[in-house]
Amino acid sequence: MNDRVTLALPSKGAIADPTLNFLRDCGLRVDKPNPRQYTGAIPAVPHLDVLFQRVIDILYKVADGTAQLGVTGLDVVHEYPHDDVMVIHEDLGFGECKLLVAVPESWIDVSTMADFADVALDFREYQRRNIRIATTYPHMARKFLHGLGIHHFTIVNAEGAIEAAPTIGYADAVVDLTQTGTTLRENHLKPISDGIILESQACLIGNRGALRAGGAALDAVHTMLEYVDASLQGKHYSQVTVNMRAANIDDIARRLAANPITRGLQGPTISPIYGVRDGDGDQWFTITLILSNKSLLVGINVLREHGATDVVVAPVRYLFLDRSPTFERLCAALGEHGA
Amino acid sequence: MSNSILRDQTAESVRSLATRLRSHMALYGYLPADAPMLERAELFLSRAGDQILHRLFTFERYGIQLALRPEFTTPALHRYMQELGEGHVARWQFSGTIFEDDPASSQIDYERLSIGAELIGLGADAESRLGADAEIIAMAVNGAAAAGAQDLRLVIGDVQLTRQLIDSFGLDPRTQSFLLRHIEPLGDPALGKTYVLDQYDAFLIADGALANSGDMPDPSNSGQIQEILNTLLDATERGVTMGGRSQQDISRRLLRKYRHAAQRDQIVQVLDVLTDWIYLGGHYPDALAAMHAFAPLAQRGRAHVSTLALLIETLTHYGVSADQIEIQPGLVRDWDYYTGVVFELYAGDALHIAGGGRYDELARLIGAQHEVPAVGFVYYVDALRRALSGADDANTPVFTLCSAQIDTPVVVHWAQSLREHGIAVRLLPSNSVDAAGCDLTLTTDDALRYDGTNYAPGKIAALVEALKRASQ
Repeated sequence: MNDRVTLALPSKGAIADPTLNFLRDCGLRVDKPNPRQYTGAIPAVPHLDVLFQRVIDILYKVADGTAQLGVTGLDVVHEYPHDDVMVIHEDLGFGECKLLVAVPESWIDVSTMADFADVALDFREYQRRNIRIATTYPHMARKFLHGLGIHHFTIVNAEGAIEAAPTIGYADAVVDLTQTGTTLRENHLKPISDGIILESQACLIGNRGALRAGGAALDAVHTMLEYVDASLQGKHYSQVTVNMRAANIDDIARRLAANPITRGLQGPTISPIYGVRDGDGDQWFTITLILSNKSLLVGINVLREHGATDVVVAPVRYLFLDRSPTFERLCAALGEHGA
Repeated sequence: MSNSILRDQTAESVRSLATRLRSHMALYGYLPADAPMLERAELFLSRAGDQILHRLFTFERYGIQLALRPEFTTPALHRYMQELGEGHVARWQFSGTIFEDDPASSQIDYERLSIGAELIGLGADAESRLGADAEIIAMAVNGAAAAGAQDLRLVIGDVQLTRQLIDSFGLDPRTQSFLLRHIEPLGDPALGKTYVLDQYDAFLIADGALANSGDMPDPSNSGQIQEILNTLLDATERGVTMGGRSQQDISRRLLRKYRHAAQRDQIVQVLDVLTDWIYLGGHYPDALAAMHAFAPLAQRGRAHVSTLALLIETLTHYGVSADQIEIQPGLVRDWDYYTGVVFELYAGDALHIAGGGRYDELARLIGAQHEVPAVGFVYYVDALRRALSGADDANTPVFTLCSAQIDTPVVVHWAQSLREHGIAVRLLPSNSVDAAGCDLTLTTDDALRYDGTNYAPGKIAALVEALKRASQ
């Protein structure tokens, strides 16, 4: 049995560098001995080899089992659905973009897909041809349009520079990925408001058979998911340390635990500061709390109201729960299908 | 029983059904015909049927787009135009595999058997058109009955009548198409008028440009609106990329939207009329009388209703009972394809086993200079098989004879004797994994045991009688 596992990562394109940065931030630094080489390693995951490929090839490599794991775009996975490929983590939080329908800005009469449907009929009626749509995502484009009852269109398969197709004249509209919309605007195109086909981002995929077999592939993905989940969880929280004066520990604990915001994850950690006691006999304590970033300032103000001072806030790099929720879900999914 | 055996039995059952249907159609003089499995895709694409376009399997070879045949009607008409032409009458029956993709379905079931008939070229005058319609409908009904289908219900409508009714309101072609396309949801109690009006607002009126374009111009003053819009377009610097549309295309569409907005009150009234029309449906002759008396129907429409009455009378001469017939004014089927009488055949309450109608304009869509009178139908073989249920499985039952050895003279003699009496027998060693399904077992005194009774070698007649009784 092969105890090596291959993780395919993007070699170029929009999510290549963000993938390496993301893994580094998760504590899964990728070592690439030579920029011209297509292999590498992640020291934190034993027995793991890294293979650099184009995003589309990553899907194929995982599908045929050459690589057991891969990071690619959700758009690629949806465009080329494959029974042997399963999405392990679809919310890695980078590489966000939208696959959408865009038309020339000059079409001032088109702002919804209902308009688009009407214009498609105009093409049939007045120009005796179908509306032409340039895309590298023919499968999703077709499914989306047919789902809206738009059947009269012709897909123009194109590679690269899709946005220029209407200007050049070989298409009337496009279905393309966009991150900020800048490229669309520069090419005098506008997105259709309800024409979003997919909200995509980077995802972790795996070969279903290899994962079901357990062993090295499942071990490797377990290690990766522990880091990934803990890192992504950590981004939502901050560690807050404050000094507070009180009669005793129970007094502080009672006051802070009464408010859900300052209760932290399980409750505050309170330590006495030795040697510091004021004239009333109160003692100083250091309190450490994990607060949600969403309510950080609210929480700090609550602490202040209780007399907290010297507030120090530090980012939480990892937040390991009792187990990796994504790995739990993966095991359940593999089990449901007869692992 | 393994799945493959089940599939084989299904295939045999389908073949048997196909043979019976084909024999029936042959009695009406319909010659077996075939169509190429691969056709140029444009033949089907130009048919312009919304329902079929995205279901085509297409391939490109040396720049030519080919498609697997999704139906027989278009190739039949194409062949008629190529080989026979005006004045000739073709009566063709088709039986073969057709291919359809269903992008919305997760089921991988791309091919199915299609059996149907086309009557092309008969219908230079109203009488012969009526005769052709009656012949096709009667053949479909009587063929299903001859195959064993029971409780048949024939639903008839006429697309032309509904078209004439819509035409009488003087609406633009896009609105007329919209209304025809929405006849079915209009008649659906769960959707109805509210849904159709919402669709009208969404597809024919709503527009961001309209909402922001200031005061509503006078819809009757096209020149004024055209000027405003052209100015608007010129004022922007968006004309660089037009994507196959001119400024005139855009202004024409916006103008049309203004008109659609202006006629919305009229659409509400039209939908009321159409709803009344749809709900006139019911059993013959009451439904036809109600249609004849329907006030909004013009004189031309009433004449058409009379023709429909004649059609039904002719059908009764063919043996189709008037009790079986139901009239549905809202039945339009594939509205951009059928041009006259349309029908659907049901077995029992729900099984839709056949459908068809008149499609005179299809010839023009695929390149003819004139219309070609044509009418046809297709059986939905899977549904028809379900309707036939037990009656359809007229396959000879096969009895399994089990013995420790299957090559002994006694076993062979028993088997051959039964076969001579028309009983199908297969031999199986007693230790076979399939032996649990044994019907007949050889006993130690060379008798055959069946259903708790032992039959000695001289009692073959009694055994045959018992087996035949069990087969019925």
